[in-house]
Amino acid sequence: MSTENFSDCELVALRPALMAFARSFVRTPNDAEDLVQETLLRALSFRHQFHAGTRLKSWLFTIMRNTFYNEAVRVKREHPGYDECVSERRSVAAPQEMSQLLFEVSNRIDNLSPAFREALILVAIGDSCEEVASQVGCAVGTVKSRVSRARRLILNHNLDEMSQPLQK
Amino acid sequence: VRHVDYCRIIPQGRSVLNPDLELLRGKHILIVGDKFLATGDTQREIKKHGAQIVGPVRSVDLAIYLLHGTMIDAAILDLNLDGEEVYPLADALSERRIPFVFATGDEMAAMAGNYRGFILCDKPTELVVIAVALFAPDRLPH
Repeated sequence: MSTENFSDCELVALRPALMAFARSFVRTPNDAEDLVQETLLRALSFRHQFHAGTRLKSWLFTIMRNTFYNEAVRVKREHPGYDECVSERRSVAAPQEMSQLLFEVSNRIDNLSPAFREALILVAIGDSCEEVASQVGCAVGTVKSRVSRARRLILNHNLDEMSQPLQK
Repeated sequence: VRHVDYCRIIPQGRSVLNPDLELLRGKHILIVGDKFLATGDTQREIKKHGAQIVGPVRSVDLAIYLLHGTMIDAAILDLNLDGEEVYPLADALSERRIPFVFATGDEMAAMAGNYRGFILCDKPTELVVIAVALFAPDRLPH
């Protein structure tokens, strides 16, 4: 007979609470599911370390936080030695299409006339058309039309055929 | 014109301008973390979209104290806060059904890898992710 301090039922009962916690750590519901799974697996393999009297929910929360945090730190550390983490993957998406697309887009931005480029970039980084108008010293309508023409100039020129490989 | 990294401005031709930033308007947002989590620029950006910042407060105890009797619609907590220490706050927030997320202020590190979490910085693109997670979670992509 084991000396386990919590039952599988108790663990399952806390799943909704864990799911809610997971949503506060990661962006998407799918990643939240994964984080809950990882947490439960860890809890099971460390169940002998659980002390009676500790609240199970708080113990599980701490495991979840540390699981996510350690992974975030690991990702950070692995970046310079990129080969290590690439080797763990079964396949790697071809990056050249995306970098080609980005290269092309930034080229087109560079080739815009200065007034168009300025309007586009200021609006793109989050300034309102009104703010841009007052910074640049022209009418709001002028900013709007410069931005929309700049967008059309960048996007319309056969970017479609370039982006096709990305839509697979 | 300010120096801008083009690649980040127009991901696949979409503008960063996003009506979801309007979700922040009129909200009182508690921020718990050190000065690296919410810099002046970040705070200005949040306020620019009409939200009010409660804090930033450094201590979990103070944050819990503030939950009594302070208008708080949502909270952003530092991912660096120790798990055991921050649990009572996370628990109190969920009991009160106040939405919260954990975020890092270390934008560069988070951008570097396959980071799945939230980034609190002055980029509208990152802010909108947090805004949707807090105030319109049903709209999150799967």
